[in-house]
Amino acid sequence: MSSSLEKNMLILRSSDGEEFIVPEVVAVMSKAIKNMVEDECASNTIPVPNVDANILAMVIEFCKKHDESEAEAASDLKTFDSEFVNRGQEALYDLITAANFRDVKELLDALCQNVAEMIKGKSVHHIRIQFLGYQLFEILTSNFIWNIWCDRDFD
Amino acid sequence: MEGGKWEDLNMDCLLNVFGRVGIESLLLDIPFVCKSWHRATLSPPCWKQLDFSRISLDDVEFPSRLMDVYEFNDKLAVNAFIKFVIKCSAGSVTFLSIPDCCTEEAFLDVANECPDLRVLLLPLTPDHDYRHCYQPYDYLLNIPSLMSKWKNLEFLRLGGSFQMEEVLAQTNIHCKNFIALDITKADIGDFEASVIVTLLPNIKLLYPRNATMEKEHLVMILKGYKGLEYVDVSKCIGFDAYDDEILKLASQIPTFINEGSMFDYYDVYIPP
Repeated sequence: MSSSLEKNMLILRSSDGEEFIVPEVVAVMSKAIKNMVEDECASNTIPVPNVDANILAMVIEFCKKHDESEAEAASDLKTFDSEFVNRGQEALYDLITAANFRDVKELLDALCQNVAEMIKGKSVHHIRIQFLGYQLFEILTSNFIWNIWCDRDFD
Repeated sequence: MEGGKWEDLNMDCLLNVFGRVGIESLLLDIPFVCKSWHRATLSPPCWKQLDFSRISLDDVEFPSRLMDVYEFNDKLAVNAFIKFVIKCSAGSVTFLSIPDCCTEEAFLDVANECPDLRVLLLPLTPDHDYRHCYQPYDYLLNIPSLMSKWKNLEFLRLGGSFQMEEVLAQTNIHCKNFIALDITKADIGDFEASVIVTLLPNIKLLYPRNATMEKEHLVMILKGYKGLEYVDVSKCIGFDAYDDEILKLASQIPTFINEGSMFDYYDVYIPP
């Protein structure tokens, strides 16, 4: 991206009012924004409701990297992706919602793959603690799980 | 309760995630986490990628929870299990890996119920048979006549050189988008090399890993293609990986992997 594309810049406004100036090529990686730009129903400033500044900054970081590194080695991009999606549950949830709502396919796929890796091979109570915020005592006292535990032979 | 919102995650996102977790989690864990996750697992898009390769009648080799729960002690159990999972997918399967203990009935079911299949992995010939063109799985005898069911097939792993000509001929006729052939462990001679080149003129990816083939046959294959993008001949037996002619031909292919290939397998033979 060179600075000569000054006129091809868009301003994105997050739900809490912060504004980000991004090149149009980066912004249109979101299909939802692309549609708005193509239909010319967007003025210079595009509101991005439901997405706060923190999350929007992350999404923009991801899109910028993917736009720049088109020519770069695919393995570099892979490492970037795996580092990028390595976050806590809260941020992951917000990012997935934002990526789905704004229709950013690459980001959504990378995030979902990461969550799938976290779920794969884990037991029900492990998943409940990790994703649904159950506490250990809730798991232990809930009947369903309790029965399973009682049925187990601990040899 | 903090972070409890994963229960209310958008259904499309849930399906996107669950489509990637595999059969084991989909059957044994996810449905019991909460109501919305259970509802999501009833939806066909979760069952797009089915990897049955970890199922085996020989449970010494594959310790897995699926084996414990479903007790695969005969072919009937495997048969019923495969048909059940295929039914869950309601025709949306795109990736499928077949176990070696599959039955003819289940395999026919796979052919009829998976019109959208993109990737098909057939079981590998067991190690002790790899020097022969021997295919121990009788349900695979039907495969040439079933290729016509998978019109969208892009990637096929043959798992040996058995019936190669018949299968590839059918692939050539029916699968217009076919781009990748995996012939891991195949035994490639004059005939097989010419069959591959003539019957699959459009493939971009070729994986003859662990295959047995001589230098002239690899050269024949590499010369026969213009647009190859990825070739993996790692751990092959029968040619020298750093041969000048091969490296020269390979220089036109963007990705060429030749680690561990050797002229003769006696090179690594260690006497007892």
